[in-house]
Amino acid sequence: MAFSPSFTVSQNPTNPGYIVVTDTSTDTDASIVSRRITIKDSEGNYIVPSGTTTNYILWDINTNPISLNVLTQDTAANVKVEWLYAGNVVQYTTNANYCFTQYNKQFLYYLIQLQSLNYNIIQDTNYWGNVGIFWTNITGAINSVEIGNDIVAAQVCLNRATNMAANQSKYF
Amino acid sequence: MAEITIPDMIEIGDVSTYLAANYEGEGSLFGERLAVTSPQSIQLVTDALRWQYESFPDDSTIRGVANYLQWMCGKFGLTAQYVINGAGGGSVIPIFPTASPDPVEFSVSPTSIIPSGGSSASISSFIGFNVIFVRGGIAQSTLNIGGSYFNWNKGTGTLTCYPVATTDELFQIYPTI
Repeated sequence: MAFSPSFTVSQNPTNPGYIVVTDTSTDTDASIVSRRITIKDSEGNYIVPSGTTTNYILWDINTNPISLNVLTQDTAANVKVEWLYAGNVVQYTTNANYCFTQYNKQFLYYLIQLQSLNYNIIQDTNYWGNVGIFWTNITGAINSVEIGNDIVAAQVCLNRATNMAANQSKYF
Repeated sequence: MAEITIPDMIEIGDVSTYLAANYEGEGSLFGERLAVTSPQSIQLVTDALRWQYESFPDDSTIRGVANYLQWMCGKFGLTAQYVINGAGGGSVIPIFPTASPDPVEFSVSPTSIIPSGGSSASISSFIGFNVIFVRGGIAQSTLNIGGSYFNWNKGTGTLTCYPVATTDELFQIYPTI
């Protein structure tokens, strides 16, 4: 069987700044000596951990999964993994779009949890309508990537939600 | 009553959303009708619960939010449970009198169902029924108050009598619902 490259990516719920990349490739290729990860946001900017001087992140062949501290807010991004032969020859490449929404999901739950303890807040002016808009933006971002494979549209949704969370005294 | 699990509550929320939406939708034909809590609100809280449970299944606040969602779902939540699980509470297969097995009557002998000197018999056709046990023309009790009595296990169909059977005693065993 030939080497079949694949990977998964998830956002760490406990520490949403971190994403976890797991190599799920099947079979092996003894000539592979290294891997690297490239993350690009919706504007084409490279996302790397602080202190990284390249556009990509080196991923030791003996480390799986790898945890990367790369996010400061919810982000839609394209993640690419390359498997390399000696001499930095890229032999296999695969990539996919992802929508990282943990920051805003957790803020939404925080609102609902408070509301379950004090449900009269739903009658406050604009409160419930704004919660609805906030939720719609999260759902819209997820759908943009999972259905439309569109990280630009997703990021627009995420930015609106992030702005509302950052200005919670105004919206909630 | 068993507490609704968090995954079940999330599913109930999902189903309640469309039940509430259709309930409101009918109002456009027959006059305005609004669910106590809107389908949008039910779906919003369901999603918040779902996302938190996916990331933090052991979060101690989740039960409270699930209870809040259950309250929001209201009557739609009850219907949702039916939609998800079918008729609640299991089902009972009715037993018709005509389906009852025939009584068992015999005079104790070395070859009877309960033989001379024996005390128990297995009557598989009576499984699931209660029985009336009449011994020597006297209805027996399952209470041991010093005289004769009996035990009946309706799950296994085993009857045990005390004291042991003696030859020529008349035993009558009647199945009853």
